[in-house]
Amino acid sequence: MRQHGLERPHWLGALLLGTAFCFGGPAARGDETAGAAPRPGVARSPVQWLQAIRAAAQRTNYTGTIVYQRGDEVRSSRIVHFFDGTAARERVQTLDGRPREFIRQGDEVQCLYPKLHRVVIEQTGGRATFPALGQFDLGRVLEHYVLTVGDVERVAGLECRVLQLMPRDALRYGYKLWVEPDSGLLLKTQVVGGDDSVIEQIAFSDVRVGGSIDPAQLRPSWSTAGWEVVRHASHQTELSRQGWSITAPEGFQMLTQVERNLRNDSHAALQAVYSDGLATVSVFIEPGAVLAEPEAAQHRGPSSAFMRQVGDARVTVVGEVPPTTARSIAESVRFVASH
Amino acid sequence: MNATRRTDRPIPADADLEQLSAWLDGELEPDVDAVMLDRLKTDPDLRAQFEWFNLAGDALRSHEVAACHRPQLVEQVRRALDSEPVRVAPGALSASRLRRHLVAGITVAAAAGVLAVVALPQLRGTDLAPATPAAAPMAVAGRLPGAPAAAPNALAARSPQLDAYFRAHRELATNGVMPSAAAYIRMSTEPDR
Repeated sequence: MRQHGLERPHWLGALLLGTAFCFGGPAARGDETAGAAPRPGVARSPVQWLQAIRAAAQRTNYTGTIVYQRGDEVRSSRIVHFFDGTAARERVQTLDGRPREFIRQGDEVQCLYPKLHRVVIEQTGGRATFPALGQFDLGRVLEHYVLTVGDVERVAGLECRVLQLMPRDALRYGYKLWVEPDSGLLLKTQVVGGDDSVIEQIAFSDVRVGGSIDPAQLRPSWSTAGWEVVRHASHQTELSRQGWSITAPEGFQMLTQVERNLRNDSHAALQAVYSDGLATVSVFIEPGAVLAEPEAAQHRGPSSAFMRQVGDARVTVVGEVPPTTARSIAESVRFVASH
Repeated sequence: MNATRRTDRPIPADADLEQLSAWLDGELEPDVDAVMLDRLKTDPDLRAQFEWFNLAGDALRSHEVAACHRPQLVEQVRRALDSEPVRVAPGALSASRLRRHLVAGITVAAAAGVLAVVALPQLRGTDLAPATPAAAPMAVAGRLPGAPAAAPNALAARSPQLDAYFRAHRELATNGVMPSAAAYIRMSTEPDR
C-alpha cells in the first residue's frame, strides 16, 4: 500500500466497515483539507445531505481501504480518488483473490486483468440521456425514501453522522449511511432489507481525506504495454422505436438506453437503465436469444436478476432491488410493434 | 478428517477438483464453463464433491443449515480448515481456494445453465450422502409487498452467465447518490474476461 502526500491519517484497522462513499460538502472541495471547514452537517436539510454526499463522492480527494461484506463473504479493496478540478480520477485495487484494478478517468474505466494481459475499457455514464448523470433530481429521491438524521458514530477513526433512508414501499431496499460531515464523504453504507437485516455493507477500515494525491497512486500496478485492449461497441437507441415497451416501478426514471454487445461476440442486446436516485436497474432485451427455461432468477446480496422469454427475445433484468421488483419489471416488458 | 470427502465415493482427480473449484469461483472461460455444467449432470462423483463443497460452506455460514444435516459438521469443517496444510483429496486444491469456497459464501446450484436458488426447505431433511442432481431451477419467490423480506443472504446460485449483464449494468448505472466505485467493489471477484 502506498500512502503519502496525504493529510489526516485515520486508522481503524479492524473490522468490516467498508464502502468508501464520499460525499463532499455542498460545495466542491477539490484538494482542500476537509478538516479546515466548519461542521456544516448539523443544519443540512435532507436534500442537502444527499447533495453533499453526491458532490463529495466526485470532488473530495481521499485514499483508504474499503471492506466489502455480504453474508459471510468479506473482501478488501484499496481506493485512491482524486478530483483534478474537472473530472474524477480513481484507482480501485482488489486486495483479495485474483489481482485486478479498475482505473477511472472521468467517465472511462479501464478494467485491468493481468492474468489475461487484457484491458477492458468501459464507458460509464457518458452516454446518459435523461437525466444527465449527476443531475438526478435528488428531491425526487425523498418522494420514495424517508431520510432520518441519526446519531454520531465513528467509522475508520472519524466521527460520522448516521443517516437512514427507509423506503416508502416494498419496491426498494433501505440504506443506512455514515457520512463524515465536514467533507460529506460517505465512509460506510449498509443496504437494509425489509426486516432490518443488513444485506450488504461497504465501509472504510482506514481513510485519509483531503490533501494532495501522488499521481503515481493512480497509475496501474503493471505495465500494460502489449496487452490486448477490448472495447465493446455500443450506441444510443430508443427501445420504443424498436417496438418494446417497459413499465418501470414508480420513482424509477430512465437514465439511458443503448444497443450494445454484452460479450466478445457480435450478438447485440438492448439495454435500458432506470434509477430512483439510490437503486438502479437495467433491462436487457436480446432478440433471437433463447432462455432454456421459461423463467430464471437469482439474488446475491442486494443484486437481483430475473430472466424470461418474451416472444423470440430473452429479457433479463438486473439491479440492486428486491427480487420481486426485478421480476415485476421483467414481466412488464412487451413487444408492441415494429416502427 | 479429509476436508473434501464425506462418502465412500471415489475421489475425483486432482485436476477435476481444481477445475470444479475454479468453476465455483466463476473463473472458467465460458466454453469450459459449459463443459463443467455437462459433467456435473453426468458425473455422480464430481456432483457429490460439488454438493460437499456447498454443504460444508453452508455449515460454516449457518448453524441453522448445519443443524439440518449433521450437528458435528461445522466443527469438522472448521477443524479441517485449521489444520495446515488443508488436506484435499491428494493435495490438489489449495488451502486458500478451499477456504474461499467454504467461507466466501459462494454456493452454486447448476442445472442446464440456468440460475437456481437453493432454498432452506430443500436442504432440510436431506442427508449429506445422496448425490442428487443440483437444485432444480426455480424463480425466486422474493418479497411481496408487505411481506417479510426474502432472506438477504439466501443460498443463492452464482451464474457466470449473468456476469456479463451485471458488468453492463454497473457500466451505465452510475448515477445519483451512490459512488460509482461501489459497483466495481461489489463485483471485484468477477471472473477475468
